[in-house]
Amino acid sequence: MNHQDPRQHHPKMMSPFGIYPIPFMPACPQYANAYVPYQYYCQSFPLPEALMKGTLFPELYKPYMPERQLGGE
Amino acid sequence: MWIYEKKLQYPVKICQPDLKMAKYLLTQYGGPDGELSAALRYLNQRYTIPTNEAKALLTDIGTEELAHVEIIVTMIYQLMKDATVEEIEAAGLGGNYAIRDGALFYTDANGVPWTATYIQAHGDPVTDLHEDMAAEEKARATYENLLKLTDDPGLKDTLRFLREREVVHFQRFGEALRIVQEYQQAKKFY
Repeated sequence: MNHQDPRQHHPKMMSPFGIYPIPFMPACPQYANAYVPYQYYCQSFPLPEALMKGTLFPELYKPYMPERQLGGE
Repeated sequence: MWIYEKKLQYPVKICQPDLKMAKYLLTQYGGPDGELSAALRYLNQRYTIPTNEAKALLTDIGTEELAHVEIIVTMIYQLMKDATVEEIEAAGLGGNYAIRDGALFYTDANGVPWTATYIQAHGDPVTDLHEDMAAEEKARATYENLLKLTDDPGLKDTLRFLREREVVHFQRFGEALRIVQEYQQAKKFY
C-alpha cells in the first residue's frame, strides 16, 4: 500500500509571480518526463552578428560540424 | 493578424544554378518535415494549448516557419534559373515540368504531395509540445542531409542559418514544456 507521509508534501509558497521563476532544471525531476534546461540571459552577440548566425545567444549557437565518415582518413 | 515585410528573413545568394539541389530542397517545401508542415502544425495547435506562453510561442514560431517557406522557394527558383527543358529533364524534374511547367507544388523531393497526415494535434499540451520538439529535430537533421548534398557556399550559408533556427526553436519548445510541467505540478498542490 502506498501510504504517503503528509510531511513529504511541500506545497509551494504562493508567489505573486505564480510558477516563476522557473529553475534551470527542475528541483524534483520525475521519471518519464523530459526536461530542457530553462535558459537565462547571460550574454549576447552584437545584433548584426546575431542576425547572420541565427541566434542572439552564444550558448545556443551550435553550428553543424559534419562527422567524419567511418573508414575515412 | 499578420504584418508582412517584403524581404526575406535571411538573404539567399546562390552561386550557380543546380537543378538536382532544387529537387532535393523540395523536401523542405512540401515534405514531411518541411517548413510548410511546421508552420501549419504550430499555427493550428496554438488554439488548444493551455498556457499563454505556449500560445504566443506557437504563433511566433509558426509565423517564422512561413518566412522559411519563402526562403526555401527563393532558393529553389535561384537554383532553377534559366534552366532548359533538357536540363530540367536530366535533373529528374521532367515529371514536374510535364504537369506544371515552371510552377512549384507542395511536394517532397520525390514528388509525393504534401498531406495533412504529416502533422498532428492532440490538445494535450505535453503531447503536442513533444511533437513540436521532434519536428524541430527532424528538420535539423534534414538540413544536415541537404548540407552534405551541396558544395555551393551561398546555398550552404542559408541552409546553416535555417538549421540554427531549428536548434533555437527546440530550446524554446522545451522551455514551453517546462512551463506546462510547472503549471501541472502547481495544480496538484493548490
